Amino acid sequence: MKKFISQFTKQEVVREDRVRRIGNDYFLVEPKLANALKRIRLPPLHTGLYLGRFAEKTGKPSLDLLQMLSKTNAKKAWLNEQSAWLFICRRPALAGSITKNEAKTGELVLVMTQQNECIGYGLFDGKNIKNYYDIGDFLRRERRAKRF
Amino acid sequence: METRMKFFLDRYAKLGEKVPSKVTLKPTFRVNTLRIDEQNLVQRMKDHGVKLEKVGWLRNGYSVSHSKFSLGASTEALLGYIYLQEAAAQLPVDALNPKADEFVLDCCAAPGGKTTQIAQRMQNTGTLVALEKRGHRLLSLRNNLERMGISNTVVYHMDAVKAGKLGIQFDKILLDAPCSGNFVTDSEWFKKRSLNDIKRSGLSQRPLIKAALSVLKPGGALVYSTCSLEPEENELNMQWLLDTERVSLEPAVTGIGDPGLTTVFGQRLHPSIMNCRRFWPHKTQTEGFFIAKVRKR
Repeated sequence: MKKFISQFTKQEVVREDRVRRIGNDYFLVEPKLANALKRIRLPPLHTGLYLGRFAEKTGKPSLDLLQMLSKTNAKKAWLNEQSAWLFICRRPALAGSITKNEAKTGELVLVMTQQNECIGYGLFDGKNIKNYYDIGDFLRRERRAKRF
Repeated sequence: METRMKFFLDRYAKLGEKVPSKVTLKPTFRVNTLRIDEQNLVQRMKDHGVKLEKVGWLRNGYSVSHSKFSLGASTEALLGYIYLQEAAAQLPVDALNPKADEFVLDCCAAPGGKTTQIAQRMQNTGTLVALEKRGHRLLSLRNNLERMGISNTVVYHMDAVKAGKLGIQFDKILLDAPCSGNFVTDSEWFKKRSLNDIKRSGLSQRPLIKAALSVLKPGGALVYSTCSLEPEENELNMQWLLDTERVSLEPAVTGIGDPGLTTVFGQRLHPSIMNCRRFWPHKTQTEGFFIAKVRKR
């Protein structure tokens, strides 16, 4: 997870001493919850605020981690409303739909709505933003699961 | 199918209700105030041309009378601002009335509508333990916890019958029990269900109720709910509970629904079962539902 965050910012995004890992899933566990958990004998599957799933080569940030990143000095690009919707549908953000962009060519960039909400991230290729991850993944995950 | 439909509609008539075979509901959602201010959300929806009506008897619930797009796939839903949740299904958490810093258990948590609602009411404080027995439903539970920004919840892949293994006692417990469902939300319901299914389902709920009570602190509250209209899964289980445990029934919800039945097919039940709430779909314009609030003595 640290490696993933470092691609966007060197600032501290989450307090490391509060991060708990279960398999490849990362969680932010506040001290009160951590203390309460000491009373429960069994290991949980999910605990506290979900931060995402990170393995050696892949990373899927959670919705909250995206919002936390967007409050740092990470590079951001803002899309118009229609393009933001298309981005959520897995499409790239085309040059004409980007209303403001802080990224340079070849940089990872957080993709934002006009209301300042982070809806994913991608790679700025000098013109368009290639979609690497977007929050439409919530729907795709469930559809994938239903197929099996 | 016609015979089965008639069988069940006759049964409802014997319980005192002339129920139509079809009731159409408006979609409803709950605003997730952990992520967005309610008025802000309402304005955003209006800007998108969505026509909303506040459901007066719900804390954060709205019904949708017109929308050009599927709200479940909207940016607002994906950002966790809303949770599509049937109106009656939003009431068990009101009955539970969870408070900040309490220790709360949600026994059959997936897909997480009520779990995320409890966390919302607790302002993401305290501890909410969510149990789910069925592995394939854990994904939707975890997705919804993520989407709604829940940070006070711990999930265990566990049958609530084994809740004692957690080794702790809770201030409040929600048991939204697996049930036979109802015809409003399942168009094939009459075709699929038989009286034997319903009796079996009613009996299978009892070990869950016992297990939940065993991990409830004395004086604590257990809210039991189903989306069934069948007395075997509702009032008759409450009568069994009163007969076998030191508990009392408190008023579950006010302002909507009918009192629980105290006479079921000629059998007289304890008068306090009136404190439960029964939702006949044609009267409440909701799915069929039942809510009981049990106090452990």
